[in-house]
Amino acid sequence: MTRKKNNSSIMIISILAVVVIAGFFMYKSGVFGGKETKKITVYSIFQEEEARKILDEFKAQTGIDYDILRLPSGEAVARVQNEAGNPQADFLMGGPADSHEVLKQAGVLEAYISPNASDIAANHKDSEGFWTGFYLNPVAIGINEERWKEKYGDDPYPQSFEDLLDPKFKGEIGMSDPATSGTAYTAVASLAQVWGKQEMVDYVAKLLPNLKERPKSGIEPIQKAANGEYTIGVTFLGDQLKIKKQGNPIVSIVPEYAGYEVGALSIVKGGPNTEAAKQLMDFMLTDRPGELYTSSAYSVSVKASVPIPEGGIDIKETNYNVNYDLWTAAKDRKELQDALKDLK
Amino acid sequence: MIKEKKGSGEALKRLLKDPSALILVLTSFVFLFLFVIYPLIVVVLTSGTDNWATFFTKPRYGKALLNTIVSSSLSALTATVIGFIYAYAINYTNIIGKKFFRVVAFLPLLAPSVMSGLAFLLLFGRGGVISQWLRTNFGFELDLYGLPGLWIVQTISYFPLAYMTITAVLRAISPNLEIAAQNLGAKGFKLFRTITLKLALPGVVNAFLLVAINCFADFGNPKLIGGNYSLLAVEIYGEIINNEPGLASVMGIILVIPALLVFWLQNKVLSKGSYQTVTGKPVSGLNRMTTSKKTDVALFIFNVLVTIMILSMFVITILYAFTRNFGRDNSFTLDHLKNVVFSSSSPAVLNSLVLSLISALLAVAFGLVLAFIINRKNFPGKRALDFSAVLPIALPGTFVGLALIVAFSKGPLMLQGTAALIVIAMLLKQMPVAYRGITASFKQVDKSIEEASTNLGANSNQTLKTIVFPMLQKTIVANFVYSFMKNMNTLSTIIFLITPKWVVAAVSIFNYAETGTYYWAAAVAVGLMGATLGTLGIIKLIFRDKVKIFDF
Repeated sequence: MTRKKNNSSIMIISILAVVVIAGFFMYKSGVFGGKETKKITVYSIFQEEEARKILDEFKAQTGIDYDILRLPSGEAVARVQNEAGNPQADFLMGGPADSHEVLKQAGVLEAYISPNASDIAANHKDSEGFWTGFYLNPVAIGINEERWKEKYGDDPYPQSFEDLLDPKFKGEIGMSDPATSGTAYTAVASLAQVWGKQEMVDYVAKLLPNLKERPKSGIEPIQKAANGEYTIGVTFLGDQLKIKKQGNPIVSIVPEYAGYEVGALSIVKGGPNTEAAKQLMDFMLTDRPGELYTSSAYSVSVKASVPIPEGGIDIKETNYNVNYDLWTAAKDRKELQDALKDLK
Repeated sequence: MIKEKKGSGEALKRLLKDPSALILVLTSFVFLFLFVIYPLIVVVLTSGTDNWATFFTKPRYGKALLNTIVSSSLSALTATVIGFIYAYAINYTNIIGKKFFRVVAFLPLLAPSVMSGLAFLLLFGRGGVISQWLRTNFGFELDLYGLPGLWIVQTISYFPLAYMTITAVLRAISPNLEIAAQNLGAKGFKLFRTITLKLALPGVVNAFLLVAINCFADFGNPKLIGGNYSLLAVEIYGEIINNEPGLASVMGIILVIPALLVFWLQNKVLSKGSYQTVTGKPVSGLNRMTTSKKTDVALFIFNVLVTIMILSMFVITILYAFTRNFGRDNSFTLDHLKNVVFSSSSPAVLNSLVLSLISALLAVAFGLVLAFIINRKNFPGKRALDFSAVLPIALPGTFVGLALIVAFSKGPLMLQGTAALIVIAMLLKQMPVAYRGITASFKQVDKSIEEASTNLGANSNQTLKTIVFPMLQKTIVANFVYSFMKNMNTLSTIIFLITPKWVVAAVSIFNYAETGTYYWAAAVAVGLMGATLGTLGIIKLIFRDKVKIFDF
């Protein structure tokens, strides 16, 4: 008797489970709700927190919900390329424009010139609309002031990339791996443009012994420097200002020949919801996402209508490499990264 | 010869007359060939000779291999020693709080092993709570990144595995021998050395090997705290990202070799070298006196220390999950949970739950089918089927994920980017466990009962439903629970297979921890543990006392 009762309750529960699970799958594939509310899928190279802030606002405005996967830029490029036959994502958010350029060359991006992109400078967007710039951000040397005082007293801060070769910095510098991270690649690509490839590779070879670590994610070194794990983190300026804003003792120096990133946006060709991706592109190029992003990421918007955020630094007042050519950087990427992989 | 030929022909004939059994056999063959054998073949073919050459000529790979061997051996050694002492204290002494210690040793199973890595960063990372405290109070700079940190974290996250394996062995030792030795004058350490340790040794070696292969394929922890200390599993990940499946396959194969070796050795040690105590039930009323008061105290302190380590991992994670930014802003908040657990845009925990349930159900169902046909039916190719069903147990998770992505990202069957591939990956890792467990139960059920059912006219479908299934209920539920928990916490098996639509919780924890968004990592970890506990609670409610979820 008891067994019978038990079996029927198991049956009920299994049926319930099947219904719930089936419903969940139908919800995931967007069966409920029409086309407008179909989810958009975003690969974000932005920190997930920032991307979510913007996407939440997009969702509030358009009713389009989102799925998001954060990836370091190198991984995002590889992923979009690998998925060319069966695209998983609709929109690629952030990451240096040279990464987007690589994808454009691979033929996996959808061209779309947003009406809102007309006031963006020509060297900050692709002329055919395969990608559009969103923010500018130079590479900088971020120093933990407190740890610097403990270690080096009143010594002057390093002002150039060559200064980082000083043996006293052994184990005190963090920089992401130029072979996989967009951040470090921007730094070395700019050096290669100024010095030539061989001298850049020699430089990196000399720099390696001073590096505490080479994480894959671009922002990690400054987070760790702020935590006091080491003294210097070479990252994008915006990441440093952001961490400084949180109350960390960080000083930022934009060294001579510093390359800069044009953070870009692009639409994946043949993604599941290209219509929504175009809507998102239009939305991204209004002032509001620019403000949202720059006020938390402390970079500079490509649009003059978006103000420099409080606590931000205007790129034009710094020592950065004005002649940095991101198209050349994209073209040389494979060659330079291969050369760097042979180190160590 | 002729007779045997006739026998297998006869078996085939009988099988053809029983269509439901035929379907089960054919489905099993197709499935195992497609998802076990075919990916293996593809991986071997993908690793061309030039990639092997690259692997052996570039020093970074050799270094990664050496590092992996060194760190896995170290971690396995300490985890086994700690697991043994912990288990010994619980099973052989009169210390108080035994039940509590047992529960504590189970706790780490509730969380992915990468959570240990996260908790380690929160405590001992150079910005961690304890390292900050050491720095401000003693000016001491704690630097555990690389091998030392990895060693500690892997020891803690795999010690429960060693503990459980060893406990099972210690419990199987009949006290009779020890009491006899005691009566003959062996005491204290001599008794321990000559009797207990000897009897337990095969189990201890087994525990060591199990932990070692788990460490060998561990991906999350080396990635989080390995620093510049490169390891094979991490290198494989890098090569997959770099779109070099050939190189990744080479490293995958190298990862598999020791695992297969361990698997083979394990079977050998367990089947031949083990000492069996053939006596039946322990003699009641006799008590072994194996430890002195002093030893008891020492063992108690040891277990308390281990307990503190484990509990502090959970405490720090919970603190981060429920405060704005622990250490800087300690005000209570539910925002993190709201943002990354209970948000339609962040379904990682829900994804984990759904995929784990489906996969665990399928794993058990398939394990049951396999155990049924292999133990009860006669058909050609039985040995091959058995072999390919057990094989995945010997394959490291990283390798299973790699093989699936290499085999199904191109070619006739495109599964990349689907949830199915994630479910299959989890299933492959758990199905062999279920298959073995159910096979063991099958052997206890007498075949004649089923034969009686067949004689009364039931086909195999009906026999399965009315006879076999009810008799195996306990084993089935226990295996389902085990598979489910493993699925919830797996990272290395599915890291390659993740798509933006199907991000799972373990991957989220790993991603947030890696980018330093610690409170989100902690929130997802708390959500994941909550989901696991909730599900176990529901299972417990359904089955009540019929099922022991935790064997305390």
